[in-house]
Formats: sequence, structure tokens, C-alpha cells
Amino acid sequence: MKLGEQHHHWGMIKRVNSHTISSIFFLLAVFNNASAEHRSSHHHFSQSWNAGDLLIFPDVSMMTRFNQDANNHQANSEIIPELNVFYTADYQHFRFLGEWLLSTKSHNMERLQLGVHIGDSSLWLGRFHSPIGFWNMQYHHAAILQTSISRPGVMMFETAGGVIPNHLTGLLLEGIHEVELSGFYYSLGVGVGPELNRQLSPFNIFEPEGAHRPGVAFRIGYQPISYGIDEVGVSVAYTELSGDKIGVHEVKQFVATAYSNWQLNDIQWTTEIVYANNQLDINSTLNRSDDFANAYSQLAWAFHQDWALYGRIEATIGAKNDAYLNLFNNFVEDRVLGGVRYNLNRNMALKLEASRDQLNGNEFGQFLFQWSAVLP
Amino acid sequence: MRVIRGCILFLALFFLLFSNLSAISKRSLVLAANTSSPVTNLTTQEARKLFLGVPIEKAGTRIMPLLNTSDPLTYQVFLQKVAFMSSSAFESQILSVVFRLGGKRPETYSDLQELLNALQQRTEAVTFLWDDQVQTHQGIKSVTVLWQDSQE
Repeated sequence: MKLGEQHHHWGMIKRVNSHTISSIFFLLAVFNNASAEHRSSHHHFSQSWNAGDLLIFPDVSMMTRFNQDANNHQANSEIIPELNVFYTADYQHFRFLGEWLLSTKSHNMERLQLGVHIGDSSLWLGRFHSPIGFWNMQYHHAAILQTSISRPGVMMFETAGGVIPNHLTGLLLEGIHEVELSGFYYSLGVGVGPELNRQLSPFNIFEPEGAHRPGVAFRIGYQPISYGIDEVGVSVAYTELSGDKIGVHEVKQFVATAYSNWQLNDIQWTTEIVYANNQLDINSTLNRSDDFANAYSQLAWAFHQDWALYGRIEATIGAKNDAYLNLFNNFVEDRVLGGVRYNLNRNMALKLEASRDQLNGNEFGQFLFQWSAVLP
Repeated sequence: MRVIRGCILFLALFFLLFSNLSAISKRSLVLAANTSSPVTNLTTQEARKLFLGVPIEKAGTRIMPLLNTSDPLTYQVFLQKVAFMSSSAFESQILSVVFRLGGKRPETYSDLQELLNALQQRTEAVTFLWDDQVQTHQGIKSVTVLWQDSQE
């Protein structure tokens, strides 16, 4: 990011709706006070309240790009600090979950969910991670949980130019149906999806604006040991995207994925295949339907207690002349990357990554360095 | 005479060693709770989920897991036989489960006495201990056997 741009972004952050931030901190204060009271109050209250967890995920990413085409809209170098605050608490059978992100790129209430436990399932109301694919559910704005620095191009965040909706606002039903040691982890999300303008803009709970149309996503995964690391599964999603602001009346998007995440001793292997069909209703007389397929595969080897080497390949078929993908400037079609991760301690990690990316048919190189942590 | 003394010494050492090995081999890792705890039974699978941050309720009580890291052997047996994960994978998975689904990471105790004190004071708390540790401390009980060495 250029210096001028950085100042612009920081200016933007300073202008963050004060109502949004004060609301977040008010909620955190209320729940933390409740937690503190919980520790010293009588038994009945302690059984009703279960003081939750406050997790703070800071990270700083530095990147340098070289051999970029003049048409690429990405800066040659960027430094992106990010702070993700997560809080969850239970009251009887109810659960609150909130996640708020602040970075020089965006600020948002990533998740705000109020749920109720019904047997082995939870029914949530609010804004949540759309249950599409493996990566989107497993990793989000908590960089330390993710082995690599970058996300696969097809699973990029909406605000970073992603082409598949990451968030829905509405109802989410999720749970694990256990069969002896194994489990079937299911999620069904129904709600409103993002609006399509210069990028996908998910519904903002605190500043609702734009035209948001319905979306539904379903995911089911088999875990040989429930709540374990190994999982294979499939997911499907259908989302209608309003694109009036960019001259597209509506996009009807269907996405299907199949994924596998497996760990064998020190090796972790994650693979996902994504198929997407987009029907663009440009106006009453002009329609277009295109589809593309993307696959990525990541292999990580923890060769030492604190060290891991990893590599990932990503490839897309059908990206060229895809009318939907042409609406996005930063969709990485193909990528080859390698990296190394070093855990400074249980709460901090350093990562170094090098990649060769293809964007709009143009290849360029990228070096990334990241410090990430979790507190407390 | 020297030969007889040597034989006696050898036999004594043999029986001492055998009895110790036998005692070690019969050790069981149990889920321990306060004697006033309403928790009377918990499966190994439920215990595993509990320590990963998944809420478990028994007899109207939300059970609070206390992670026992006071002894490396105890912790390793728990990881291998109950959690089925390495230490780093377990820590990462706890964080991942709580971050995805909500809940609370278990409190960690690296000091055995502090762990026992917490267990004796909180009726909703459970932890994992060796059965002989449960027997030698007042105010706590064994809820279920999580793992037992099959060697005789």
C-alpha cells in the first residue's frame, strides 16, 4: 500500500461509525461484568451464566509484489495490521458469539450471533460464516489458526475481492450427529447474502444499506473422530446477488464444493474442489450463464515441534471470459506457493511465504511475511 | 553363605521390582470430580468433547473441565488415549472449536495442589487423575475410568 493510501485507510478507520464501536465495547463490558459477577455470586447464578472466552487475534502482514502487469489493481507493497476481537458467553441454553474486525483494509462486525442449544444442535440468529467449503468454516480472521498466510483465491474474503459469499445474515442450524466415535457435522444457513457492487458487500448489521437478496448454504462433513481434525465433506450454496450499482440486474449463483482435510502424524493435507455457475441477468433482454471450477491442495509438514513447511497449488478452469469473474479485479486464478511457519510460543507465530500468482491472465510474484498471535 | 545372601537379595529385588511394575501397569486414568458433584457418569467420548470446549450438561449442571498438565505422563496419556491428538494439535483444536462454535477453553492447571484445591472447591469441576491420586485425596471421587492399562 502506498503511503498516501495508508493515510486514507487510517482516516477511514478513524471515521468508523462510533455507534458500531461503542456498541461492541458496551456488549463486551456487559458480558465481562457478568463474568466477573459470576465468579463471586451464588451457585444458582453461576449455573445459569457461563463466563465465556474473550480472544484477541492481532496480526501484521507485510507483502511485496513484483512483475505485476500495469492493469493489476494491487499495490506493489503493503503492510496490513489487523485486530480481531472474539467473544462468546452462555446463559442457560443460550449462547452469544461476536467477532469484530478492525484493519487498515476494512472494519466490520464479522459475526454477531445469538443461539439456542437444541439437543446436539444449535440454532443461531444473526450474521455468521456461510457454511460453504472447508476453508471458509475452518479459518477466518484469526491468522494464527491458519497454517499459511494467504487464503486460497476462491475462498478470499468478500472485502478482499472474493467471488463467493463468505457471510450470510439470517438463521443457521448446525450440529454434530455422533455415531460412536465418529460424527457428521452439518450446517444449514438461510438468510440474506451480499450485494454486488465493486466487490461483494455482505449485509452490515449496524449499518444496513444496499440491496441484499436471499441465499442458502448447506454443508455436511464426516469426521472419523467427532470434533477432530480429519474431515471429508461436501457443501452447496445458492445465492442471489443484486448488482444494480454496476449495471447487472441480478446474478444467480450456484456453488458446490467437495473437500478433505486429513492429518497423518506430522503431515496435514487439505484439498477442496469448487464448482460455480453464475447466471447473469444483465437486463430484460440480455442474460448470460458461465461456470468455472477451481481446486486447491495444501500440504503442511510439521517437521519440528515449532516449525512447519507448507506448499499449496491452486488452479481454475473456465476463468477466461467468464462474465462473472470479469467483474472482479483481484481473483487469483492460479497460484503456486511455498512457505515456512515458526511458532514462537503457544500464542505467537511467524510465517514467510512466496508465491507465483496469476491474476486476469497475468503472472506476478509475491513475498509475504506475517506475525500473528492470540491473547490471552 | 555369600551365594545364599546373593540369592535372597536377588529375589527381594525381583519381588520389589515385580510388585512395582504390577502397580504401575494397573494404574487407571480416571475422570475425577468433587464428592458432592452431581456428575455420576460420563463417557470417554463426552470427556473428550468436554476438554475440547464443547458444553456438556449432566443432572442440570454444566460441567467445568480443568485441564491437568501438572504431570507430563498424565497429560500424554490423556492426549493419546482420550483426545487422540498431539499436544500442539489439541491446543490448536480447542482454539478452533471455541472460535467456530463458541464455548470456553478449559482452565489449565500446571500445579497438582492447585488443581486438587479447585476440584475440592467447585462441585461442577472435573479433571483427569490417576486412580491412586483420587484415593489418597479427600473430597474427590472417581466418576469414570478414561483409560486402563491392559497389561497384567
